[in-house]
Amino acid sequence: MTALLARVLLEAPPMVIASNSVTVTRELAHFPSHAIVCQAGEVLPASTTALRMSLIAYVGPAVSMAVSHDGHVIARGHHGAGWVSGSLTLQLHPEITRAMSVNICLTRDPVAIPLGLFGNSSTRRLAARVNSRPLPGRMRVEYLKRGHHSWLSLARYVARRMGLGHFPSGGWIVIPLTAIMAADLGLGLWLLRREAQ
Amino acid sequence: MTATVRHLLRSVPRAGWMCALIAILNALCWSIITPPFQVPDEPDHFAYVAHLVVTHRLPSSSAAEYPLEEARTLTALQQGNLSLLPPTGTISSLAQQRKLEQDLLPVARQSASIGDAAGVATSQPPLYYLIEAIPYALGSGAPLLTRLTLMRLVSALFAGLTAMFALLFVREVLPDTRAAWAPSGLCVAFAPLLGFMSGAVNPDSLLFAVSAALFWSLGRAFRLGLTPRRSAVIGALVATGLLTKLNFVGLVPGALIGLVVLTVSASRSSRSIAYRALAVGAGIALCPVVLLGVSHLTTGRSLFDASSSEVSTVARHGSLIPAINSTWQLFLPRLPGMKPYDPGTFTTREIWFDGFIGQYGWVETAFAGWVYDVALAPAVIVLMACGAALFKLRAVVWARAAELSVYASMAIGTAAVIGSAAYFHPEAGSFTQARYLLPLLAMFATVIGLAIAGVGRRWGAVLGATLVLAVMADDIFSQLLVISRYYG
Repeated sequence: MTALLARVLLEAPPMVIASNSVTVTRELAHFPSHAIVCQAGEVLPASTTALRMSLIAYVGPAVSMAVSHDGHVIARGHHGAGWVSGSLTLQLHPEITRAMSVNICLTRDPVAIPLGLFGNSSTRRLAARVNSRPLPGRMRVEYLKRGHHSWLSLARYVARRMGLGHFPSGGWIVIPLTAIMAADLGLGLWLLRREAQ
Repeated sequence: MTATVRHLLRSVPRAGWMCALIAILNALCWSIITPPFQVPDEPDHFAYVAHLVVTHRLPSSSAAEYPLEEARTLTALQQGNLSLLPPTGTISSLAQQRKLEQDLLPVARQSASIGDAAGVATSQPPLYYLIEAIPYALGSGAPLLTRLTLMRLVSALFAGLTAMFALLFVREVLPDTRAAWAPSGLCVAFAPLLGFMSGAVNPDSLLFAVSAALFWSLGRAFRLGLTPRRSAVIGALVATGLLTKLNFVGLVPGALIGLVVLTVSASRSSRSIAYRALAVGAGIALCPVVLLGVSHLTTGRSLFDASSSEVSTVARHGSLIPAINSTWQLFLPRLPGMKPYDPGTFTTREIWFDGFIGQYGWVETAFAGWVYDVALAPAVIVLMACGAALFKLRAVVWARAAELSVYASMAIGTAAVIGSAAYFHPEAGSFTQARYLLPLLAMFATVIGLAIAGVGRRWGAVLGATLVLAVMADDIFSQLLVISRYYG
């Protein structure tokens, strides 16, 4: 467990390098089974390794993605079924090495699980399309790349942020929190050992 | 009476108190980690308490309109964005914090503007909210976030009761497997979903505690026999549960069947005492229903308006068979010939198992898929060991079949309540969240206990320790997941 914890803390989380600046305000449509949803005009920065799409499902179906440039597929992504989230992150294979304008197309498993496409209103020309039919707007897309900072190196920032929007406020809250967690685990292990004896 | 309570408290083993303390500390950690109002329906439950304290009346509208102070806090905390868009974190700058504090100050001074609404909480009975009114009132001069913290602390105490009663239930049903008691209690105390829900303002926290206590009281009566006093405890717990949350209704038929089975058993030695016990228990249990009837009569409402509206809802859907079919598929794999209700979803795994392992926030914060795959391994081992124990103890199982069927009927009742709500009221939102099964935590603890009993004395200690460590790991990584989601 300690080794796993160390590994997680030393891992660098992916970071958002840019987005298409669409603010999510509404559901654009349901993502029908057997449909292809495409959104053109996405300018991916260099070293993009994943895309985070504003898809919402309670228990999401498998979703596949094709990223194309000049009519050629340059990267693909896939996420299996069973995800829960207000967005879906799809890893790109291979990663995007140089900045370029691309067209993103999504397909989903043909099962009856509801899946919502979320985003904001836009002109018909810029709108995302379902089977070439324009939607009322565009989806939000965030472009992610590999992070350089481990969770451990971000600890101070995270601690400071944990102290905001709470009572009691202040980054110091992390110290008693860690102490309580440690005491709790210690008590559990002690009880386990005592009862085993 | 005091002597009885003192005797009961003394009869709780030290492991029970320790599990209670551990569960409270765990829920306390969760209450610090989880941002305000990022637990399902917490804004609505908070609004209920605010309404109760300010107006001394129950809310009557289920509109999602919050008191002015709460509405401003939710806006300042970007609650809507946070709950809908996982990539959005909590407020991140001192400037935002100062603005939040400034936004709250004027409202604290002016007379609070309270509507008549508490969202989805409006239909819930008042007991939990009456208890939470105490910390709310104690912090009435303080900003809203202070009151929320105090209220979350009270909820955390219920996590302790849940873990303690789960351990005590295991002790009653597996009295000869002492090695199983503490690991079972610890698995409940460290269960991350229990900590998450009990670290928030939500009547589920009290519901879990009352449900675990009800299982314990039934288990005790089955082991020691029914007396009027034990029956009164069962009845009081049923009444408390009915006053806590509507979902508790699922446990009631099973509990009443339990009382009848216990009465039949007790009548073999003394018929009069057995029937007196039944009358006492059932009488106390049904008090809330009588109170509700009296309240409806005095306010001029139809005596059966709630139940008649449910009956008309069911009638609109025609046959009950599709509802049973849908409920079955909500929990178990579809059988051949059944109409598919959730095609493409293995609900047993993706809703209930994955949800229990870890889905947080507004059920949008989850681990990567492989974590749930890994968690399947210990779950399968536990189920196999549990099956082995039941086979090994088949003579005992047969002798205690009536008792086991009571617990089974309580589980079926809970599933039926969730399934029927999901089928008949799909518009009311999602009833398919793993937390709705936590009233059965005492049974979860028993499954752990049986698994430990099933592998024998030598391997039992190893399995117990492994399972507790696994649940601890789930808890730690769940807390880290939530921290990374909101503050990373």
